[in-house]
Amino acid sequence: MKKHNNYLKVMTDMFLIQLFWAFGIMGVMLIIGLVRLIFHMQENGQDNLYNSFFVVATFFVFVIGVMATYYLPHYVGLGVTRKNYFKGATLALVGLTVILPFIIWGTSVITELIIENVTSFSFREPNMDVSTEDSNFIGDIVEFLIVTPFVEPESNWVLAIGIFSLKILVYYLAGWLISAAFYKFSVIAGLGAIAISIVLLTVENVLLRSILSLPIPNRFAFLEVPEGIAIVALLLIPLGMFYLIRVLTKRVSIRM
Amino acid sequence: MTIKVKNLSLHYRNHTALHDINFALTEKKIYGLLGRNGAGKTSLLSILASFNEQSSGSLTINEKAPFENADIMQQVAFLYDKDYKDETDKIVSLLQDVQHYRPNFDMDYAEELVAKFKLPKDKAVKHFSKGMQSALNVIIGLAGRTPITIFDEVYLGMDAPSRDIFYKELLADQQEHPRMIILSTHLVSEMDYLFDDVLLLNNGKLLLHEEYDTLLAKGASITGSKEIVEEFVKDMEQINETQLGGTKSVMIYGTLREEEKQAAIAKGLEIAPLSLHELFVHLTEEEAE
Repeated sequence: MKKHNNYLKVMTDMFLIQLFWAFGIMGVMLIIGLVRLIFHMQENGQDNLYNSFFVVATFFVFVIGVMATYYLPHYVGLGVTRKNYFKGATLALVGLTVILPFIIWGTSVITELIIENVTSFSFREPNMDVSTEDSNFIGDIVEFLIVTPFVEPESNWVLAIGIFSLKILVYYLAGWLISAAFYKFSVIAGLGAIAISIVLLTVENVLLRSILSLPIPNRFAFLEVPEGIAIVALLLIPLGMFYLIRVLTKRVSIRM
Repeated sequence: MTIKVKNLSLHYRNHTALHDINFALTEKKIYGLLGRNGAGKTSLLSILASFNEQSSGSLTINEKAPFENADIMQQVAFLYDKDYKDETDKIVSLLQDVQHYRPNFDMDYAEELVAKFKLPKDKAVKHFSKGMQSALNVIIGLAGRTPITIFDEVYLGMDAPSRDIFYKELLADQQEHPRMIILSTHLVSEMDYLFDDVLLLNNGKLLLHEEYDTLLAKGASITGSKEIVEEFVKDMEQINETQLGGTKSVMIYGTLREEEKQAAIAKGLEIAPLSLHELFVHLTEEEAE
């Protein structure tokens, strides 16, 4: 009787289902892109799929991260330990962060080639720089969290893919962390987890901007640290989030 | 498999769900876990299935704590009144998912049960009626063939013919593939013939754990003239009484010795056995008082 490979099964299941959802989102975005193209809804060229998905990924991976907690009862009901679920879901997430940017990039390049060959449209350079600020503090933070540092894959594909992967990782973890806090405790703890996640994501974005030498809004300038420390902190933040999620779910009671 | 429960308690903030429970299950039998609503049945079973942890005491399966033990958890299946409202899969796909994680799962038997319960294969499970979802839980539990299979009021919403299929299949499959099955229920009169052993919970406490036949032998109703009945049962544990005119009937809990039976007959008293349903109702009633 095979008993100890349950986390690999969880990994495979979670990876495939989440990839399937990602394909669903990509399909929807392709359709939206085509509709905009056909009805000339964009005057200055067309955003490519990679750029569009880079923005949408913020919401998408956050939502599937939230759902990660709600898969736990399903797997415990099938006799999988919380630890094996955590291992499996973590490996699936790592797989997703590695594979998804490549798939999106590849799909984006192919669709761009097809569309540019059959139409006169060209794809514009994205403008995803958020360095300006106004008096709307909340709005600034939300904008800062949604529009994260971006690098064109054509300019430096390793860096671009790495940044996309990191974004998928931390936004997924934020969703997972928040839902784990809501699941284990109460609304107040859940709101606390939201606050912690906002802080961690903001710090992550500032550190990344600092490393990429991108402008940092003044109100976050105090978070700037030397590059070496920033790189270490950049990696420690997701590790810390993994740790918090494990602590929250390690002995959590399953709701029925 | 051996389940040992010692001084097990479960407390929530202002509520004690289980209080100092002790018992041991050692054989591949069908155990009936009886109790009124809120007696603590689901709390106890959720600890057994590692859904929850006890506040104090111990629960072991094969001398090991089941919580987060991969070997043990894989051998325990807990089927309860699960809501499938978000389940977009169709039944065969869902059963394949279960098969992936349950090493003893018999897909052919599962398909046979799907046909017997007349469950649609072309519908998403979320569109199943309540009774159909309950039948699905029954199929997962029976075809899973896990060494410890727990059915917690799994029949809810099932109509009488479907419940009948469940009971028949349970007995037949237990004969072919014996395992430890725990049936939690308050439908006592309908399911009593299934039980080999009975555990009775009330207000978070274990009232009794007996073999079914031994338990039935412990209950009796003594009927006859009021004064003679009262004299006869005065030192016995009385769990219920009814009176009509000068005739009185008292239900007692405790084994009658042969000489006591003979004495009762000699005094013109009538001794009748009690059903499990009557014992359940009156033992839990008495405890509630």
